[in-house]
Amino acid sequence: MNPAAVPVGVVDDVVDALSRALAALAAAGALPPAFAHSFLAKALLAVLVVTPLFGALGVLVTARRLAFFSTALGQAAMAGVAVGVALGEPVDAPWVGLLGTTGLCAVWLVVLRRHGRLPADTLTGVFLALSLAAGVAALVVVTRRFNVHQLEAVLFGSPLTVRSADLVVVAVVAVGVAVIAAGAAPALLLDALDPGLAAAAGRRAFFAELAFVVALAAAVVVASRVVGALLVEALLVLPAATARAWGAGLGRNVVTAVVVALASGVLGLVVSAATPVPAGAAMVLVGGVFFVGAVVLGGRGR
Amino acid sequence: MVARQARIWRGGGGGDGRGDGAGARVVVDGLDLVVVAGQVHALVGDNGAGKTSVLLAVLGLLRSTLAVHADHIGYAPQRLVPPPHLPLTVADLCRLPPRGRRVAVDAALDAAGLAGRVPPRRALSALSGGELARLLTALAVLPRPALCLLDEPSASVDAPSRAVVDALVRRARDDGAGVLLVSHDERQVAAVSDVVTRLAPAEAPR
Repeated sequence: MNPAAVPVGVVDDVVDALSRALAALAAAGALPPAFAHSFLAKALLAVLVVTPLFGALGVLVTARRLAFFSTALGQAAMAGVAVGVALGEPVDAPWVGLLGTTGLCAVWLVVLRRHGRLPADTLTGVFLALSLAAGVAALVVVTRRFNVHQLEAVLFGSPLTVRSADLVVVAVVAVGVAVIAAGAAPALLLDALDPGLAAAAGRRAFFAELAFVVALAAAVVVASRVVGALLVEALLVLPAATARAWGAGLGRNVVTAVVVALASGVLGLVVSAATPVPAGAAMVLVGGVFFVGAVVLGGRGR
Repeated sequence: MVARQARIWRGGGGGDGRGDGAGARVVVDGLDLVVVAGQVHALVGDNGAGKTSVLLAVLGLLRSTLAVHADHIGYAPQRLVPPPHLPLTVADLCRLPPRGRRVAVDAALDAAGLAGRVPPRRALSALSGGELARLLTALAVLPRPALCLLDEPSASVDAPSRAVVDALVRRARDDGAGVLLVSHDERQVAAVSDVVTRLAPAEAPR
């Protein structure tokens, strides 16, 4: 028996219950009529898992100035698909290739950033340019044809065609990543403030960064399959930036970023169901509204 | 902490300049230093003599031949400017060290002479240079480390508050720490130190 079969069954039950509830709300006029379709229940479930995780991770990502780095990891996913296909994995679920390639790229970039002779953002930029080109080239060589939908799938994902099995993978990775990030956070934050403070406190910043970045790579890759690399990058930056603009305080920033990310995801889905705007774009635009609001109204205690 | 003819490298590699890449240069050479528990050892010398490098080498952040045997080190960096994108407050900073090395935020603010003037929820980036220096000194001293490294703790502190810093240095010594104090403040060195080591600039790069 497939070990994923049990959780997939559970997810299917949750999706059924959620889609019945949403359909009832849509029938009552409380939600746009599109919510009568069950694919929106799966999309909503994906949003409920992915957005809070990336909102919280974003606080650490922006504190460590890793936003650009995360973009590079998202685009390395293309090469990961090619590696997976070359290893004989199916093109729509090449998990070993994806996670292995981006994980190795993440470790390599952290080591280069620490020991290289070039500034970190220059190295990341070089990597960003090369990873996308190498990924497209490798994918065409491996699959022997250029399929623009593969590029599109990595960049934009497909929240409206999420499968239950994808949701299980996303949820498992989300929990693991959250645990690793919480463990690495004190070392990463002390080190961002002053490397000497982290060293004196016995916090191993280098290993914390390696663990965090590999976990981040896994989260970015898995979520990108569902909501797309571009939305993942937006979710990592916008809510955390909104929280920081609103005020200081680590706990407060994490809570604010999680709430803003969740609200952007859910409201974005509702907006896209009621208008011709695609779901990902609607979520980012809602997040942008929160950010502008925080910049204009926030700033107390900074 | 004991150093015998120790050598410290810096630079080589653009990352954090740990001194283990090609092109690293010797910044401190032939350093003899014995920091005894319950004593304040002042490290003085001109700019560029390598005083801060000694502290960073003790912390393991620079390549060196130093052998440090201290489980618990307290450290206050000099002239720290918290990056504004970090969301940390005073209370957050007090919670980041591991259990057993944490200080209650009220105790830290009190020892730094900031109680009632700086709220625990104030962002680190909103503190003045002197306020942050006093807070960092208090956080280095209060957990009773075996070795306490203080890098110019009164450099940006106004004259009336220097007594607070001096009191913290004496408190670290009285709690049994070996204190390594980097200072340009001759008044402070005269007031609190038991031993003084003067660093001469290292010779030409090799």
